[in-house]
Amino acid sequence: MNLIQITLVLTSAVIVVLYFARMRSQLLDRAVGVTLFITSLVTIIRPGLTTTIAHYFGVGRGSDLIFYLMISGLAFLCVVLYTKIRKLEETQTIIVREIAIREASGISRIEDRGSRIEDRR
Amino acid sequence: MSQAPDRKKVFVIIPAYNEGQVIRGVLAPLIESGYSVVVVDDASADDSQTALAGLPVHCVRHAINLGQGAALQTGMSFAIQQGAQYIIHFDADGQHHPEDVPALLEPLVNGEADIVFGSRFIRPEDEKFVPGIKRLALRAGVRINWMMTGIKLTDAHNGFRALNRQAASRIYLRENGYAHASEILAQVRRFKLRYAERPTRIEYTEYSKSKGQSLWNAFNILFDVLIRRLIR
Repeated sequence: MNLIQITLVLTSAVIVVLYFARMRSQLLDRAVGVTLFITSLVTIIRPGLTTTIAHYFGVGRGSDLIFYLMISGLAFLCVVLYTKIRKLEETQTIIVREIAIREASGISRIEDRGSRIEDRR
Repeated sequence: MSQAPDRKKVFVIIPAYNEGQVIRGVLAPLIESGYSVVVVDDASADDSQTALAGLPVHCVRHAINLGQGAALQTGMSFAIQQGAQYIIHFDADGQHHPEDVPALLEPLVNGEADIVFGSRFIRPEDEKFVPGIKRLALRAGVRINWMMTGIKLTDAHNGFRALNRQAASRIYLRENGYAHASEILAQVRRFKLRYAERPTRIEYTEYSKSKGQSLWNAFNILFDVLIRRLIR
């Protein structure tokens, strides 16, 4: 094995361990994670394989194929993150609204009026 | 016209963000007219709270800045909880005229509509107050709203509206920013609410111009509207 192959194998191993240690995710997520890990191992150890697949798809070089796949993957990731952030914003809005309305209608005094969350950090 | 509604049951909702210097002047005629006034302070960093002190208004304060659409929704939820019969959306920068409120309420009180939109483009004398380039942008906005929602109004993004209790309870704004104007139309369509338009005067003071949306923001709004259609 080349030095780069060892480096890449170790990096993917660390990422996959972190992934399973830190993230509590759905079965589908995990399946995707494992598939990605195995794919990366295979392509690192057999670099010629990507070029063979690339030819099959009508792409000249294996690295070009990986590059295109990475761009689509990144775009997909952006959309996923966008929807997640949007959901978080919606939740946050609901909480802030709830506090504001409760306070205004005198149901309970959650925080001192006039002080903002930013100020208290 | 049917009997005029009890003004205490008419809740005027004013989303305010850093409007401390003008807010008292905007509120005074509304309070004098006997309406229930709800100021939604969207976490202003200026002296808004001091400016509001002692006024007979409901003050609902967001802990963090969320945007105009979110502030309107907070105001509506609050007003419904307080037993509002009619709800008015009103801008905090003094560009709307409180005298126009009864005209906006009329179709609701007569049971002809569930929501009434104010328009700067019904009477020629109102239209001439709208600066030329803004007029073009709003015309484009009208067309885009028409295409996206199937509802054709004469004005787009006029913040002056009146809703009856049913309409205000059905509508729920998820657009925290400025795209809520198009969102309202989409929901009017979805819930099959009856709508009408009434002419309103608009005052472009130096202050309201400086606080108002720049033309470039129109592109931001368009982007928001489009992307929310694709990604929910």
